[in-house]
Amino acid sequence: MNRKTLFLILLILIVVFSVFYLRNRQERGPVTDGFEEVKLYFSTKDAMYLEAEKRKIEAGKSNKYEETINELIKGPASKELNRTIPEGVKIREVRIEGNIAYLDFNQALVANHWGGSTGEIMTVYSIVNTITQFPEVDYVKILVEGQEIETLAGHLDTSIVLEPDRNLIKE
Amino acid sequence: MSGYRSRNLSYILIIISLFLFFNIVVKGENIHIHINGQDKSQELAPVVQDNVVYVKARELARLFNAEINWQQSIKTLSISDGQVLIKMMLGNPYIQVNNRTMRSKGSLLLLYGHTYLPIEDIARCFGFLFNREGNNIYLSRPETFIRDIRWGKGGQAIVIEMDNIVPYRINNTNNPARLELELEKAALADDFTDNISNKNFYLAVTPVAEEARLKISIISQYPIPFLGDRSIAEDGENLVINFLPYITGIRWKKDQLEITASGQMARPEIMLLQEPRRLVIDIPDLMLSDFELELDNNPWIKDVRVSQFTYDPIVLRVVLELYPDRYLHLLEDTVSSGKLVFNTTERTSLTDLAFEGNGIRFISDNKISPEIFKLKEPDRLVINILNADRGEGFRDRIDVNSELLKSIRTSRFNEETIRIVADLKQDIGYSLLERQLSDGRFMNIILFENSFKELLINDSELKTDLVLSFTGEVDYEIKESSGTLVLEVSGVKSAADYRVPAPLGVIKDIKVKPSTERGEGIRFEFATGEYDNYKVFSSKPATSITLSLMKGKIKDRKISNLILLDPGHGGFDPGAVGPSGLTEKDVNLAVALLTAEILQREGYNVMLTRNDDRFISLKDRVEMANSLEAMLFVSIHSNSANATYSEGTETFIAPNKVASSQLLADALQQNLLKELKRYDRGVKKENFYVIKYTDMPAALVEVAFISNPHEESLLASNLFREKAARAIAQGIMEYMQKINNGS
Repeated sequence: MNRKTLFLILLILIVVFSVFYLRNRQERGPVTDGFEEVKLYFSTKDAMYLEAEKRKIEAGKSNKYEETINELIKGPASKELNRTIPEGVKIREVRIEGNIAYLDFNQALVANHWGGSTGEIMTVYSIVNTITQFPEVDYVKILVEGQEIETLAGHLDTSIVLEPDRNLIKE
Repeated sequence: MSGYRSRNLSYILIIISLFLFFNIVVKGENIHIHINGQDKSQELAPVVQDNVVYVKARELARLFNAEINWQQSIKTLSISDGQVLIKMMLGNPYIQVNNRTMRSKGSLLLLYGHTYLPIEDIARCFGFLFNREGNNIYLSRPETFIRDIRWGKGGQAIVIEMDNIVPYRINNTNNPARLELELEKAALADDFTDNISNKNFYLAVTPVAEEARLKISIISQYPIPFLGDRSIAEDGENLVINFLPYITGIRWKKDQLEITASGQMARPEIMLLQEPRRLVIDIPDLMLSDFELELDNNPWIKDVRVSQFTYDPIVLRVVLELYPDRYLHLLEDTVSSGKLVFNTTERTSLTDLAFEGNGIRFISDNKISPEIFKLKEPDRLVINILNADRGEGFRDRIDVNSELLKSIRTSRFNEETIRIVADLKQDIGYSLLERQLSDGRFMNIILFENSFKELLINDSELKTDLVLSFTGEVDYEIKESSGTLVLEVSGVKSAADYRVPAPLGVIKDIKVKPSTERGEGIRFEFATGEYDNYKVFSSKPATSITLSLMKGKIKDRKISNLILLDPGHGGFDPGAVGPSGLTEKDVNLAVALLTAEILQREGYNVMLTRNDDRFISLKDRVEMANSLEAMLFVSIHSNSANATYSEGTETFIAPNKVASSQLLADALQQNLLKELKRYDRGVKKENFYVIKYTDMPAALVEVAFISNPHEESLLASNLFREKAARAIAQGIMEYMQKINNGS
């Protein structure tokens, strides 16, 4: 009896450990039906183009836009791509009015940005191109701490609503 | 039964310890070690144990040019580069460094048949700075050496003497007896001397764990009188931490009380409290110390108590216990002289309050120094008289209904204070006059009148601004005649001795006279050079009048065929910052200045949106270009991206402006590629602010990537900057020729 129980305990322990071990090695959990696939645009290594990476977000969530931006903030899984959103950036609010998405970020988007025309283009259009993949959104207005900004890093005019730039996308 | 159990337990233990073992030694595949900027991870084969990074001892010694020696008998490894000799025993956390011993976070390890050393401690022993950022470890040589830390200014400052100043900051320790300063990329010199430590102070210098910073801690038995970041100053190549002044004396001198300190004191806050009657004086940023107390036999102060009231903020409290009816008031003008002097005031009786002429008058038994201030909505003037009583003819209310005043009210504000409130019809200036009467009493007059405070002139590219301010609201009129702009201000007293600033910009001469037109007033006559028009940015009446003389659209001033160069960023906006700290704003300005020089030499008219390190908004840059009606606009930038391998040159135009801008951009890009030979990223169309809103052909060049270490070093060099300037100037000249030839 006792011997059997102990072996059973041992067996359970081994199974539990292996499961944990394997799970830790795995990048992501299994895909189930409750997920929706979105495209996230990240910078190519030479910062010439934006390239889409597909990722699953929970389907039917109240704010898929916010979910998508949060995934964009996390950065790419692929080693061939670079993140486009600086450290510490958080999305404060997403508001959809008509066909315009108003995305309100915290100050880190400006304060922690690495600068440069190219750097700014990659950041702005990774956001704009990602959000305009949803057919109901045609334009994006970027806000910081609830305010309109003249520019993000000193080049692009971000006081206007922005349309996606398809020329930047590497298919 | 117990035999089975123990056997099974040991199985479990074996399995658990196997897991533990995997956790102990982790191959440091992700750890990258950079020595003087080069990745040496391959050779050093880092491993991690208990969060300490170890590297192959032999490879480390080779990279440090050190000799290595393994003594099997005593299991000891020694490494020496001729200056530093380190000995470490297998499994022993103590390292012998020359003649002293220190404890390491790790110890000598034997793994896969090789000896491994804890890299942080060993690198530091060999004089390297160690900086760990996640999985990247950087070893580098210090940028500055600290030679001496000593007392300065007679013990009122700490002086840190070093080769050159590196970035520093004062830590907030929440402990007033501990001062902590961190210096980037600094190390102690070999001949460093500690001239701080004594029986009250102790100096400790330690590297910050895993970072290339040196922490200097000064610990005292008593609170250290410093004010955080505000206390630190640079003096040549030294850093000086200034201490706050401390109290040195409270003395009774000829019917006055004097409080002295070792340095400048700030204005104190003063309260009068009762039971016992006492004056509480809170002096900010002043420290307690032994001080001299000399009160002799004075009829005002019974007792004095001094304490450090608070440490955050630092406030020293002096409590003076007073005899009945006695009061002391601070002589305001002594505050800036480095001591606080208090005059005695006896209880005074106020009588005969009246409104006569254009002033409030009343009589006091003694000399008083009332506190006077204005309040808004509705406009009021408040006069507080301390240590006073209302006597004969000092009524509660006088209805005046003059041009200036509605009424005067008086009240006992608190036990010590009589308050007079004048209800004003408009915001107006005032002055306090005082005259001793033949019976020894004092006549006090608060005279209502405006006076002229000051005139400021600001000159900029676009306009010359005149700002005139007055003590109260004034009415004014502006008249423009050829060569002169006249400003008539009424309701201001017309004294003669105004100090006027030197003429500037459009203003060629300034005359101030009594008004010739209506009653009392001042007439300002500004002799002007040429300007386009003037604008007034003030309502009527106003306490300050701002006049802008716009020089934008004058035909003569407009420079024909003007080339406007726009060095990107500036001031508090550094633009992108390279891996070694080069800022984009500096590169842009240097290249733009060199470009302007070449174009001027070739006979072109050139201006820059900024000639120095200042912030100008994108909107102002555009406004400048449009109001100057420049012929073309070239914005000069250095690029950056979130990837060190992005490289090359690119030029941008706005999608809304193509034809001529495209011609300009092509000429710039081709010349930049020819001169600089960087990767061609092409001419692109983007919604960039400055090129989109300017009215003339415009392009924005990104010379090279400051975020790329190689291109950053190029951008830092004068030769490369000259080449870039030559290319931009050449591109502009080619474009000008094409336009002039009508192609």
